[in-house]
Amino acid sequence: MILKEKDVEHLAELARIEISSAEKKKLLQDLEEILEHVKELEKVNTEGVDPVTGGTAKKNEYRGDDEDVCVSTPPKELQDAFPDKDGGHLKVPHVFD
Amino acid sequence: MDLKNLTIKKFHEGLMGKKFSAKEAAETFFSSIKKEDEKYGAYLRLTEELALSQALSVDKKIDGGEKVGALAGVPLAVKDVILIKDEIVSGASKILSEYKAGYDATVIKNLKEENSMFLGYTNCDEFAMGASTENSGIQITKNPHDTSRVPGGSSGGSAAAVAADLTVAALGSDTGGSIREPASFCGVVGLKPTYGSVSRFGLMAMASSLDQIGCLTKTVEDAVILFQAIAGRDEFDATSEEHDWSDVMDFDAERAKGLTVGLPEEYFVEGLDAQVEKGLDEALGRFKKLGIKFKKVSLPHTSLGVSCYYIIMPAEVSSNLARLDGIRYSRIIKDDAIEALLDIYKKQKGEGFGEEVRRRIMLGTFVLSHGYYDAYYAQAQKVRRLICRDFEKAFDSGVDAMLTPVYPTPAFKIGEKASDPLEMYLGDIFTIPTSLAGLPGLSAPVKDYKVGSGELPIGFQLIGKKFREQDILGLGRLYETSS
Repeated sequence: MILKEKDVEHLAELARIEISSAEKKKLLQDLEEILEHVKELEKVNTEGVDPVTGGTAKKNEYRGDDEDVCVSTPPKELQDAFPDKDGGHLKVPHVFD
Repeated sequence: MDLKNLTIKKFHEGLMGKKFSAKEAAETFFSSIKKEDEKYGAYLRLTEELALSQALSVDKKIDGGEKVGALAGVPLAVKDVILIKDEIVSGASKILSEYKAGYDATVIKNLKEENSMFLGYTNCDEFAMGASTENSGIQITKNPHDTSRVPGGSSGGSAAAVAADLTVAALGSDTGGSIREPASFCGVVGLKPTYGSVSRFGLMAMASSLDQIGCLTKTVEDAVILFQAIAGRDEFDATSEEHDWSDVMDFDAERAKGLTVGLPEEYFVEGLDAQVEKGLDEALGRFKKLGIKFKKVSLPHTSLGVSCYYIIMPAEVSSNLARLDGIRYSRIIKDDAIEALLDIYKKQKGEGFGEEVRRRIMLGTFVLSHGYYDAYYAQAQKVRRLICRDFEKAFDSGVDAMLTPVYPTPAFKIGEKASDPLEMYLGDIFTIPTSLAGLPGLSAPVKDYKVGSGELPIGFQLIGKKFREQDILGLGRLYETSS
Protein backbone atom coordinates (compact mmCIF):
# COMPACT_ATOMS: atom_id res chain seq x y z
CA MET A 1 0.00 0.00 0.00
CA ILE A 2 1.38 3.37 -1.02
CA LEU A 3 -1.49 5.41 0.43
CA LYS A 4 -3.70 5.17 3.49
CA GLU A 5 -7.11 6.69 4.00
CA LYS A 6 -5.68 9.50 6.08
CA ASP A 7 -3.29 10.36 3.22
CA VAL A 8 -6.28 10.82 0.95
CA GLU A 9 -7.81 13.13 3.54
CA HIS A 10 -4.58 15.10 3.71
CA LEU A 11 -4.37 15.38 -0.10
CA ALA A 12 -7.98 16.56 -0.26
CA GLU A 13 -7.11 19.19 2.32
CA LEU A 14 -4.08 20.31 0.29
CA ALA A 15 -6.12 20.40 -2.92
CA ARG A 16 -8.97 22.22 -1.15
CA ILE A 17 -11.56 19.69 -2.29
CA GLU A 18 -14.37 18.46 -0.12
CA ILE A 19 -14.87 14.73 -0.56
CA SER A 20 -17.41 12.37 0.98
CA SER A 21 -16.35 9.31 2.95
CA ALA A 22 -17.71 7.01 0.25
CA GLU A 23 -15.62 8.82 -2.33
CA LYS A 24 -12.59 8.64 -0.10
CA LYS A 25 -12.61 4.85 -0.35
CA LYS A 26 -13.08 4.84 -4.10
CA LEU A 27 -10.35 7.46 -4.55
CA LEU A 28 -7.98 5.48 -2.37
CA GLN A 29 -8.57 2.40 -4.49
CA ASP A 30 -8.18 4.27 -7.81
CA LEU A 31 -5.08 6.20 -6.75
CA GLU A 32 -3.51 3.04 -5.38
CA GLU A 33 -4.08 1.20 -8.65
CA ILE A 34 -2.63 4.04 -10.72
CA LEU A 35 0.37 4.53 -8.44
CA GLU A 36 1.10 0.80 -8.47
CA HIS A 37 1.18 0.97 -12.26
CA VAL A 38 3.40 4.04 -12.57
CA LYS A 39 5.87 2.45 -10.16
CA GLU A 40 7.39 0.82 -13.24
CA LEU A 41 9.30 4.09 -13.75
CA GLU A 42 11.31 3.41 -10.59
CA LYS A 43 13.19 0.67 -12.39
CA VAL A 44 14.33 2.85 -15.28
CA ASN A 45 17.95 3.88 -15.09
CA THR A 46 17.95 7.66 -15.46
CA GLU A 47 21.38 8.39 -14.10
CA GLY A 48 22.82 11.45 -15.80
CA VAL A 49 19.60 12.15 -17.72
CA ASP A 50 18.47 15.77 -17.49
CA PRO A 51 14.77 16.10 -16.86
CA VAL A 52 12.46 17.76 -19.35
CA THR A 53 11.26 21.04 -17.90
CA GLY A 54 8.42 21.94 -20.21
CA GLY A 55 6.98 21.55 -23.67
CA THR A 56 9.36 23.94 -25.37
CA ALA A 57 13.11 24.06 -25.87
CA LYS A 58 13.03 27.85 -25.86
CA LYS A 59 14.89 29.70 -23.16
CA ASN A 60 13.75 32.90 -21.49
CA GLU A 61 11.30 34.86 -23.55
CA TYR A 62 10.74 38.55 -23.13
CA ARG A 63 8.15 40.67 -24.74
CA GLY A 64 8.11 44.35 -25.29
CA ASP A 65 6.24 46.63 -22.95
CA ASP A 66 3.94 47.66 -25.77
CA GLU A 67 0.34 48.58 -25.72
CA ASP A 68 -0.53 46.18 -28.51
CA VAL A 69 0.63 43.13 -26.58
CA CYS A 70 -1.76 43.41 -23.70
CA VAL A 71 -5.40 42.54 -23.47
CA SER A 72 -7.27 45.60 -22.38
CA THR A 73 -10.54 45.00 -20.59
CA PRO A 74 -12.71 47.79 -19.21
CA PRO A 75 -12.86 47.69 -15.37
CA LYS A 76 -16.63 47.31 -15.47
CA GLU A 77 -16.35 44.09 -17.49
CA LEU A 78 -13.80 42.69 -15.07
CA GLN A 79 -16.06 43.50 -12.14
CA ASP A 80 -19.00 41.89 -13.89
CA ALA A 81 -17.01 38.70 -14.31
CA PHE A 82 -16.54 38.45 -10.55
CA PRO A 83 -19.08 36.29 -8.73
CA ASP A 84 -19.71 38.50 -5.71
CA LYS A 85 -19.54 42.27 -5.65
CA ASP A 86 -20.92 45.35 -3.98
CA GLY A 87 -20.87 48.52 -6.03
CA GLY A 88 -17.37 48.82 -7.38
CA HIS A 89 -15.96 46.46 -4.75
CA LEU A 90 -15.25 42.75 -5.08
CA LYS A 91 -16.51 40.75 -2.12
CA VAL A 92 -14.96 37.74 -0.39
CA PRO A 93 -15.84 36.28 2.98
CA HIS A 94 -13.54 36.75 5.94
CA VAL A 95 -10.24 34.93 5.75
CA PHE A 96 -9.59 34.43 9.47
CA ASP A 97 -11.94 33.13 12.11
CA MET B 1 -27.99 22.93 -49.87
CA ASP B 2 -26.44 19.52 -49.28
CA LEU B 3 -24.44 19.25 -46.07
CA LYS B 4 -23.23 15.73 -46.74
CA ASN B 5 -19.45 15.53 -47.03
CA LEU B 6 -19.35 19.31 -47.29
CA THR B 7 -15.68 20.24 -46.97
CA ILE B 8 -14.05 23.65 -46.54
CA LYS B 9 -12.97 23.41 -50.15
CA LYS B 10 -16.45 22.59 -51.47
CA PHE B 11 -18.06 25.18 -49.21
CA HIS B 12 -15.80 27.87 -50.58
CA GLU B 13 -16.58 26.89 -54.17
CA GLY B 14 -20.32 26.88 -53.41
CA LEU B 15 -20.19 30.25 -51.71
CA MET B 16 -18.13 31.84 -54.47
CA GLY B 17 -20.29 30.25 -57.17
CA LYS B 18 -23.38 31.76 -55.48
CA LYS B 19 -24.92 28.33 -54.97
CA PHE B 20 -25.77 29.51 -51.45
CA SER B 21 -25.14 32.53 -49.25
CA ALA B 22 -23.39 32.37 -45.90
CA LYS B 23 -26.71 33.24 -44.26
CA GLU B 24 -28.42 30.32 -45.99
CA ALA B 25 -25.58 28.07 -44.92
CA ALA B 26 -25.95 29.17 -41.29
CA GLU B 27 -29.69 28.57 -41.33
CA THR B 28 -29.32 25.18 -42.99
CA PHE B 29 -26.73 24.03 -40.46
CA PHE B 30 -28.72 25.22 -37.47
CA SER B 31 -31.90 23.55 -38.65
CA SER B 32 -29.97 20.34 -39.32
CA ILE B 33 -28.28 20.45 -35.88
CA LYS B 34 -31.61 21.02 -34.15
CA LYS B 35 -33.11 18.05 -35.96
CA GLU B 36 -30.20 15.59 -35.95
CA ASP B 37 -28.06 16.30 -32.92
CA GLU B 38 -30.57 14.77 -30.50
CA LYS B 39 -29.18 11.43 -31.65
CA TYR B 40 -25.54 12.30 -30.97
CA GLY B 41 -25.32 15.07 -28.39
CA ALA B 42 -22.31 16.60 -30.09
CA TYR B 43 -23.20 20.23 -29.29
CA LEU B 44 -23.55 21.80 -25.88
CA ARG B 45 -24.52 25.31 -26.93
CA LEU B 46 -25.20 27.00 -30.25
CA THR B 47 -23.91 30.48 -30.96
CA GLU B 48 -26.64 31.43 -33.43
CA GLU B 49 -26.57 35.18 -32.96
CA LEU B 50 -22.82 35.35 -33.48
CA ALA B 51 -22.93 33.00 -36.48
CA LEU B 52 -25.68 34.97 -38.14
CA SER B 53 -23.84 38.26 -37.75
CA GLN B 54 -20.68 36.64 -39.13
CA ALA B 55 -22.64 35.21 -42.07
CA LEU B 56 -24.25 38.55 -42.90
CA SER B 57 -20.89 40.28 -42.85
CA VAL B 58 -19.43 37.69 -45.25
CA ASP B 59 -22.40 38.01 -47.60
CA LYS B 60 -22.02 41.78 -47.56
CA LYS B 61 -18.33 41.50 -48.43
CA ILE B 62 -19.00 39.13 -51.32
CA ASP B 63 -21.86 41.26 -52.63
CA GLY B 64 -19.60 44.29 -52.46
CA GLY B 65 -17.03 42.53 -54.62
CA GLU B 66 -14.51 42.23 -51.81
CA LYS B 67 -12.04 39.38 -52.03
CA VAL B 68 -12.50 36.78 -49.31
CA GLY B 69 -10.34 33.82 -48.31
CA ALA B 70 -10.86 30.06 -48.25
CA LEU B 71 -12.33 30.12 -44.75
CA ALA B 72 -14.82 32.93 -45.25
CA GLY B 73 -18.26 31.95 -44.01
CA VAL B 74 -17.07 28.41 -43.27
CA PRO B 75 -19.13 26.92 -40.41
CA LEU B 76 -16.92 25.71 -37.58
CA ALA B 77 -17.63 23.96 -34.28
CA VAL B 78 -15.50 24.81 -31.28
CA LYS B 79 -14.54 22.55 -28.39
CA ASP B 80 -15.90 23.87 -25.11
CA VAL B 81 -12.46 24.81 -23.80
CA ILE B 82 -11.59 27.56 -26.30
CA LEU B 83 -12.71 31.10 -25.49
CA ILE B 84 -15.00 33.13 -27.73
CA LYS B 85 -15.60 36.60 -26.30
CA ASP B 86 -19.02 37.13 -24.71
CA GLU B 87 -20.07 33.49 -25.12
CA ILE B 88 -20.57 31.01 -22.30
CA VAL B 89 -17.73 28.50 -22.34
CA SER B 90 -17.74 25.92 -19.59
CA GLY B 91 -15.04 23.31 -20.20
CA ALA B 92 -18.02 20.93 -20.15
CA SER B 93 -17.92 21.42 -16.39
CA LYS B 94 -20.61 22.33 -13.89
CA ILE B 95 -18.10 24.59 -12.20
CA LEU B 96 -18.08 27.05 -15.13
CA SER B 97 -21.67 26.59 -16.22
CA GLU B 98 -22.27 30.33 -16.30
CA TYR B 99 -18.80 31.58 -17.19
CA LYS B 100 -18.73 34.07 -20.04
CA ALA B 101 -15.41 34.54 -21.84
CA GLY B 102 -13.95 38.01 -21.53
CA TYR B 103 -11.77 37.77 -24.60
CA ASP B 104 -11.12 35.77 -27.78
CA ALA B 105 -8.56 32.96 -27.87
CA THR B 106 -5.89 33.75 -30.46
CA VAL B 107 -7.13 30.93 -32.73
CA ILE B 108 -10.62 32.45 -32.57
CA LYS B 109 -9.24 35.91 -33.29
CA ASN B 110 -7.39 34.50 -36.32
CA LEU B 111 -10.47 32.73 -37.60
CA LYS B 112 -12.63 35.81 -37.08
CA GLU B 113 -10.15 37.67 -39.27
CA GLU B 114 -10.65 34.93 -41.87
CA ASN B 115 -14.40 35.63 -41.56
CA SER B 116 -15.24 32.09 -40.46
CA MET B 117 -18.55 31.37 -38.79
CA PHE B 118 -18.85 29.71 -35.38
CA LEU B 119 -21.84 27.40 -35.03
CA GLY B 120 -21.42 26.58 -31.36
CA TYR B 121 -19.59 24.76 -28.64
CA THR B 122 -19.10 21.02 -28.74
CA ASN B 123 -19.06 18.55 -25.88
CA CYS B 124 -15.86 17.12 -24.44
CA ASP B 125 -14.58 15.40 -21.35
CA GLU B 126 -14.60 17.87 -18.47
CA PHE B 127 -11.65 20.25 -18.98
CA ALA B 128 -10.47 17.86 -21.73
CA MET B 129 -9.74 15.04 -19.27
CA GLY B 130 -10.71 11.75 -20.78
CA ALA B 131 -10.72 9.54 -23.84
CA SER B 132 -14.42 8.96 -24.38
CA THR B 133 -16.31 12.22 -23.67
CA GLU B 134 -18.11 10.25 -20.93
CA ASN B 135 -16.47 12.50 -18.32
CA SER B 136 -18.39 15.54 -19.56
CA GLY B 137 -20.16 17.24 -16.68
CA ILE B 138 -23.06 17.99 -18.98
CA GLN B 139 -23.95 15.15 -21.36
CA ILE B 140 -22.75 12.04 -23.16
CA THR B 141 -21.91 12.19 -26.86
CA LYS B 142 -22.51 9.19 -29.09
CA ASN B 143 -20.49 8.00 -32.04
CA PRO B 144 -22.39 8.70 -35.28
CA HIS B 145 -21.13 5.40 -36.73
CA ASP B 146 -22.67 3.41 -33.86
CA THR B 147 -24.62 5.29 -31.21
CA SER B 148 -23.97 2.59 -28.61
CA ARG B 149 -20.30 3.54 -28.76
CA VAL B 150 -18.23 6.48 -27.59
CA PRO B 151 -16.95 9.08 -30.09
CA GLY B 152 -13.60 9.04 -28.34
CA GLY B 153 -12.28 11.96 -26.38
CA SER B 154 -11.68 14.37 -25.16
CA SER B 155 -12.63 16.27 -28.35
CA GLY B 156 -15.52 13.80 -28.89
CA GLY B 157 -18.20 16.38 -29.64
CA SER B 158 -16.06 18.02 -32.30
CA ALA B 159 -15.26 14.68 -33.96
CA ALA B 160 -18.90 13.55 -33.85
CA ALA B 161 -20.14 16.86 -35.29
CA VAL B 162 -17.72 16.59 -38.22
CA ALA B 163 -18.55 12.91 -38.84
CA ALA B 164 -22.31 13.57 -38.74
CA ASP B 165 -22.00 16.54 -41.14
CA LEU B 166 -23.28 18.89 -38.44
CA THR B 167 -20.39 21.22 -39.16
CA VAL B 168 -17.84 21.61 -41.93
CA ALA B 169 -14.86 21.37 -39.56
CA ALA B 170 -14.05 21.81 -35.89
CA LEU B 171 -11.43 22.95 -33.43
CA GLY B 172 -10.23 20.61 -30.73
CA SER B 173 -7.39 20.34 -28.28
CA ASP B 174 -4.98 17.48 -27.73
CA THR B 175 -2.92 16.83 -24.59
CA GLY B 176 -2.33 13.08 -24.82
CA GLY B 177 -4.39 12.11 -27.86
CA SER B 178 -7.60 14.12 -27.49
CA ILE B 179 -7.82 15.09 -31.17
CA ARG B 180 -6.28 11.99 -32.74
CA GLU B 181 -8.22 9.32 -30.89
CA PRO B 182 -11.72 10.77 -31.47
CA ALA B 183 -10.77 11.43 -35.10
CA SER B 184 -9.89 7.74 -35.45
CA PHE B 185 -13.09 6.58 -33.69
CA CYS B 186 -15.31 8.83 -35.82
CA GLY B 187 -13.60 8.34 -39.18
CA VAL B 188 -12.41 11.92 -39.63
CA VAL B 189 -9.04 13.65 -39.93
CA GLY B 190 -7.43 15.04 -36.76
CA LEU B 191 -4.25 17.11 -36.57
CA LYS B 192 -2.34 17.70 -33.35
CA PRO B 193 0.29 20.26 -34.31
CA THR B 194 3.82 20.49 -32.90
CA TYR B 195 3.94 22.01 -29.42
CA GLY B 196 4.44 25.69 -30.17
CA SER B 197 2.90 25.72 -33.67
CA VAL B 198 -0.43 27.11 -32.48
CA SER B 199 -1.00 29.64 -29.71
CA ARG B 200 -2.61 28.31 -26.55
CA PHE B 201 -3.79 31.77 -25.49
CA GLY B 202 -7.47 31.46 -24.61
CA LEU B 203 -7.41 27.68 -24.31
CA MET B 204 -8.40 26.50 -20.84
CA ALA B 205 -5.13 25.12 -19.55
CA MET B 206 -5.09 21.47 -18.60
CA ALA B 207 -1.42 20.41 -18.81
CA SER B 208 0.44 23.39 -20.16
CA SER B 209 3.59 21.56 -21.33
CA LEU B 210 1.46 19.22 -23.48
CA ASP B 211 -1.70 21.07 -24.58
CA GLN B 212 -2.10 22.02 -28.23
CA ILE B 213 -5.04 23.31 -30.22
CA GLY B 214 -5.64 21.53 -33.50
CA CYS B 215 -8.34 20.71 -36.00
CA LEU B 216 -10.83 18.00 -36.91
CA THR B 217 -11.82 17.96 -40.55
CA LYS B 218 -13.29 15.77 -43.28
CA THR B 219 -10.15 15.77 -45.41
CA VAL B 220 -6.41 16.31 -44.98
CA GLU B 221 -6.73 19.14 -47.47
CA ASP B 222 -9.12 20.92 -45.09
CA ALA B 223 -6.77 20.30 -42.17
CA VAL B 224 -4.07 22.11 -44.14
CA ILE B 225 -6.33 25.13 -44.72
CA LEU B 226 -7.43 25.34 -41.09
CA PHE B 227 -3.94 24.71 -39.70
CA GLN B 228 -2.48 27.53 -41.77
CA ALA B 229 -5.07 29.94 -40.38
CA ILE B 230 -4.36 29.13 -36.74
CA ALA B 231 -0.60 28.48 -36.76
CA GLY B 232 2.05 31.05 -35.94
CA ARG B 233 3.79 33.06 -33.27
CA ASP B 234 1.58 34.87 -30.81
CA GLU B 235 2.87 37.46 -28.36
CA PHE B 236 0.40 36.15 -25.80
CA ASP B 237 1.90 32.66 -25.75
CA ALA B 238 5.64 32.69 -25.13
CA THR B 239 5.94 29.04 -26.23
CA SER B 240 4.51 29.72 -29.68
CA GLU B 241 6.90 29.92 -32.63
CA GLU B 242 6.93 31.37 -36.10
CA HIS B 243 7.73 29.02 -38.93
CA ASP B 244 7.46 29.17 -42.65
CA TRP B 245 4.37 27.14 -43.41
CA SER B 246 4.20 28.09 -47.10
CA ASP B 247 5.15 24.64 -48.32
CA VAL B 248 2.40 23.09 -46.21
CA MET B 249 -0.03 24.30 -48.83
CA ASP B 250 2.05 23.79 -51.94
CA PHE B 251 2.88 20.25 -51.04
CA ASP B 252 4.52 18.47 -53.88
CA ALA B 253 3.35 14.88 -54.13
CA GLU B 254 6.64 13.91 -55.74
CA ARG B 255 8.48 15.15 -52.68
CA ALA B 256 6.17 13.12 -50.43
CA LYS B 257 7.14 10.09 -52.44
CA GLY B 258 10.73 10.76 -51.57
CA LEU B 259 10.08 10.55 -47.84
CA THR B 260 11.05 7.56 -45.76
CA VAL B 261 8.54 6.45 -43.17
CA GLY B 262 9.52 4.57 -40.04
CA LEU B 263 7.55 1.67 -38.57
CA PRO B 264 8.30 1.60 -34.83
CA GLU B 265 8.28 -2.03 -33.76
CA GLU B 266 6.94 -1.19 -30.28
CA TYR B 267 3.70 0.04 -31.85
CA PHE B 268 2.95 -3.19 -33.66
CA VAL B 269 2.69 -5.55 -30.76
CA GLU B 270 0.35 -8.27 -29.59
CA GLY B 271 -2.87 -7.01 -28.13
CA LEU B 272 -3.68 -4.89 -31.13
CA ASP B 273 -7.29 -5.45 -32.16
CA ALA B 274 -7.62 -7.51 -35.38
CA GLN B 275 -9.60 -4.75 -37.12
CA VAL B 276 -6.93 -2.19 -36.25
CA GLU B 277 -4.22 -4.50 -37.52
CA LYS B 278 -6.12 -5.05 -40.75
CA GLY B 279 -6.65 -1.31 -41.16
CA LEU B 280 -2.98 -0.56 -40.62
CA ASP B 281 -2.03 -3.26 -43.14
CA GLU B 282 -4.33 -1.67 -45.68
CA ALA B 283 -2.83 1.78 -45.08
CA LEU B 284 0.70 0.42 -45.29
CA GLY B 285 -0.07 -1.41 -48.53
CA ARG B 286 -1.51 1.70 -50.10
CA PHE B 287 1.45 3.84 -49.06
CA LYS B 288 3.83 1.25 -50.50
CA LYS B 289 1.93 1.24 -53.76
CA LEU B 290 2.43 5.00 -53.89
CA GLY B 291 6.16 4.45 -53.74
CA ILE B 292 6.72 5.45 -50.11
CA LYS B 293 9.75 3.75 -48.60
CA PHE B 294 9.41 2.15 -45.18
CA LYS B 295 11.99 1.31 -42.61
CA LYS B 296 11.78 -0.52 -39.30
CA VAL B 297 12.74 1.64 -36.32
CA SER B 298 12.72 1.20 -32.58
CA LEU B 299 11.36 3.51 -29.87
CA PRO B 300 12.38 1.44 -26.84
CA HIS B 301 10.74 3.54 -24.12
CA THR B 302 7.28 3.54 -25.72
CA SER B 303 5.65 1.33 -23.10
CA LEU B 304 6.64 3.77 -20.33
CA GLY B 305 4.76 6.65 -21.96
CA VAL B 306 1.48 6.09 -20.14
CA SER B 307 3.12 6.00 -16.69
CA CYS B 308 5.18 9.04 -17.51
CA TYR B 309 2.15 10.95 -18.76
CA TYR B 310 -0.10 10.05 -15.84
CA ILE B 311 2.39 11.66 -13.47
CA ILE B 312 3.30 14.79 -15.42
CA MET B 313 -0.19 15.62 -16.69
CA PRO B 314 -2.00 15.39 -13.29
CA ALA B 315 0.80 17.43 -11.71
CA GLU B 316 0.11 20.23 -14.19
CA VAL B 317 -3.65 19.75 -13.84
CA SER B 318 -3.53 20.15 -10.08
CA SER B 319 -1.71 23.43 -10.51
CA ASN B 320 -3.76 24.79 -13.42
CA LEU B 321 -7.19 23.99 -11.99
CA ALA B 322 -6.42 25.50 -8.61
CA ARG B 323 -7.58 28.82 -10.03
CA LEU B 324 -11.19 27.62 -10.24
CA ASP B 325 -11.64 28.37 -6.57
CA GLY B 326 -15.05 29.98 -6.49
CA ILE B 327 -13.57 33.42 -6.04
CA ARG B 328 -12.61 34.42 -9.54
CA TYR B 329 -14.32 32.74 -12.48
CA SER B 330 -17.59 31.51 -11.09
CA ARG B 331 -19.40 30.49 -7.97
CA ILE B 332 -21.90 27.68 -8.07
CA ILE B 333 -22.47 27.09 -4.37
CA LYS B 334 -25.18 28.73 -2.30
CA ASP B 335 -24.29 31.63 -0.04
CA ASP B 336 -25.69 29.98 3.09
CA ALA B 337 -23.09 27.20 2.82
CA ILE B 338 -20.32 29.73 3.18
CA GLU B 339 -18.91 30.77 6.51
CA ALA B 340 -15.28 31.42 5.70
CA LEU B 341 -13.13 31.69 2.61
CA LEU B 342 -11.94 28.11 2.88
CA ASP B 343 -15.54 26.87 2.66
CA ILE B 344 -15.85 28.40 -0.80
CA TYR B 345 -12.75 26.65 -2.08
CA LYS B 346 -13.67 23.25 -0.72
CA LYS B 347 -17.35 23.22 -1.52
CA GLN B 348 -16.92 24.81 -4.93
CA LYS B 349 -14.40 22.18 -6.01
CA GLY B 350 -16.16 19.35 -4.23
CA GLU B 351 -19.46 20.08 -5.95
CA GLY B 352 -18.26 21.57 -9.20
CA PHE B 353 -15.61 19.13 -10.42
CA GLY B 354 -16.55 15.69 -11.71
CA GLU B 355 -15.00 12.44 -10.56
CA GLU B 356 -12.19 12.23 -13.13
CA VAL B 357 -11.11 15.83 -12.60
CA ARG B 358 -11.02 15.33 -8.83
CA ARG B 359 -9.04 12.11 -9.30
CA ARG B 360 -6.42 13.85 -11.43
CA ILE B 361 -6.15 16.83 -9.08
CA MET B 362 -5.59 14.44 -6.15
CA LEU B 363 -3.06 12.41 -8.09
CA GLY B 364 -1.20 15.55 -9.13
CA THR B 365 -1.26 16.91 -5.60
CA PHE B 366 0.28 13.63 -4.42
CA VAL B 367 3.11 13.44 -6.96
CA LEU B 368 4.08 17.03 -6.21
CA SER B 369 3.85 16.69 -2.45
CA HIS B 370 6.74 16.85 -0.05
CA GLY B 371 8.79 13.66 0.01
CA TYR B 372 7.34 12.24 -3.23
CA TYR B 373 8.37 14.84 -5.79
CA ASP B 374 11.70 13.25 -6.75
CA ALA B 375 10.40 9.69 -6.83
CA TYR B 376 7.46 10.52 -9.10
CA TYR B 377 7.56 13.87 -10.85
CA ALA B 378 11.31 14.30 -11.31
CA GLN B 379 11.75 10.69 -12.41
CA ALA B 380 8.86 11.01 -14.89
CA GLN B 381 10.47 14.11 -16.42
CA LYS B 382 13.71 12.13 -16.90
CA VAL B 383 11.89 9.24 -18.54
CA ARG B 384 10.18 11.84 -20.72
CA ARG B 385 13.66 12.87 -21.88
CA LEU B 386 14.39 9.25 -22.82
CA ILE B 387 11.17 9.13 -24.83
CA CYS B 388 12.18 12.35 -26.63
CA ARG B 389 15.60 10.87 -27.38
CA ASP B 390 14.01 7.71 -28.83
CA PHE B 391 12.30 9.86 -31.43
CA GLU B 392 15.41 11.93 -32.12
CA LYS B 393 17.48 8.81 -32.73
CA ALA B 394 14.86 7.28 -34.99
CA PHE B 395 14.56 10.48 -37.04
CA ASP B 396 18.35 10.74 -37.20
CA SER B 397 18.51 7.27 -38.70
CA GLY B 398 17.05 8.66 -41.90
CA VAL B 399 13.34 8.58 -41.22
CA ASP B 400 11.12 11.59 -42.03
CA ALA B 401 7.90 10.45 -40.36
CA MET B 402 6.42 7.39 -38.68
CA LEU B 403 3.31 5.34 -39.30
CA THR B 404 1.54 3.83 -36.29
CA PRO B 405 -1.90 2.88 -35.01
CA VAL B 406 -3.84 5.61 -33.20
CA TYR B 407 -5.59 3.42 -30.66
CA PRO B 408 -5.41 -0.32 -29.90
CA THR B 409 -9.13 -0.85 -30.72
CA PRO B 410 -11.96 0.75 -32.68
CA ALA B 411 -14.51 2.84 -30.69
CA PHE B 412 -15.56 1.02 -27.54
CA LYS B 413 -19.01 0.77 -25.99
CA ILE B 414 -20.39 3.55 -23.81
CA GLY B 415 -19.80 2.50 -20.20
CA GLU B 416 -17.31 -0.24 -21.11
CA LYS B 417 -14.32 1.38 -19.44
CA ALA B 418 -16.04 4.01 -17.33
CA SER B 419 -15.49 2.30 -13.97
CA ASP B 420 -11.82 1.49 -14.43
CA PRO B 421 -9.69 4.62 -14.85
CA LEU B 422 -6.42 2.74 -15.32
CA GLU B 423 -7.82 0.67 -18.18
CA MET B 424 -9.00 3.88 -19.82
CA TYR B 425 -5.53 5.44 -19.39
CA LEU B 426 -3.71 2.45 -20.92
CA GLY B 427 -5.55 2.95 -24.20
CA ASP B 428 -3.58 6.16 -24.79
CA ILE B 429 -0.35 4.24 -25.35
CA PHE B 430 0.08 5.17 -29.05
CA THR B 431 -0.78 8.87 -28.80
CA ILE B 432 0.95 9.83 -25.55
CA PRO B 433 4.64 9.53 -26.59
CA THR B 434 4.10 12.01 -29.46
CA SER B 435 2.65 14.49 -26.96
CA LEU B 436 5.42 14.00 -24.41
CA ALA B 437 7.96 14.73 -27.16
CA GLY B 438 5.97 17.71 -28.48
CA LEU B 439 5.80 16.25 -32.01
CA PRO B 440 3.02 16.71 -34.56
CA GLY B 441 0.61 13.83 -35.10
CA LEU B 442 -1.99 13.31 -37.80
CA SER B 443 -4.81 10.81 -37.47
CA ALA B 444 -6.45 9.95 -40.78
CA PRO B 445 -9.07 7.34 -41.66
CA VAL B 446 -7.80 4.23 -43.46
CA LYS B 447 -10.65 4.64 -45.94
CA ASP B 448 -13.85 6.56 -46.43
CA TYR B 449 -16.24 5.36 -43.70
CA LYS B 450 -19.86 6.23 -44.35
CA VAL B 451 -22.15 6.92 -41.40
CA GLY B 452 -24.85 4.27 -41.54
CA SER B 453 -22.69 1.59 -43.14
CA GLY B 454 -22.27 -0.09 -39.76
CA GLU B 455 -18.53 -0.32 -40.20
CA LEU B 456 -16.41 1.05 -37.35
CA PRO B 457 -13.73 3.50 -38.52
CA ILE B 458 -10.03 2.83 -38.04
CA GLY B 459 -7.42 5.56 -38.29
CA PHE B 460 -3.70 5.52 -38.79
CA GLN B 461 -1.29 7.96 -37.18
CA LEU B 462 1.55 9.77 -38.91
CA ILE B 463 4.09 11.27 -36.53
CA GLY B 464 6.37 13.99 -37.86
CA LYS B 465 9.47 15.85 -36.85
CA LYS B 466 9.05 19.06 -34.85
CA PHE B 467 7.54 21.84 -36.97
CA ARG B 468 7.42 19.51 -39.98
CA GLU B 469 3.64 19.38 -40.23
CA GLN B 470 4.11 19.58 -43.99
CA ASP B 471 5.56 16.05 -44.08
CA ILE B 472 2.69 14.32 -42.33
CA LEU B 473 0.05 16.48 -44.00
CA GLY B 474 1.70 15.84 -47.37
CA LEU B 475 1.75 12.09 -46.84
CA GLY B 476 -1.85 12.21 -45.61
CA ARG B 477 -2.91 14.22 -48.63
CA LEU B 478 -1.12 11.87 -50.99
CA TYR B 479 -2.92 8.94 -49.36
CA GLU B 480 -6.28 10.69 -49.51
CA THR B 481 -6.01 11.51 -53.20
CA SER B 482 -4.89 8.02 -54.14
CA SER B 483 -8.20 6.35 -53.29
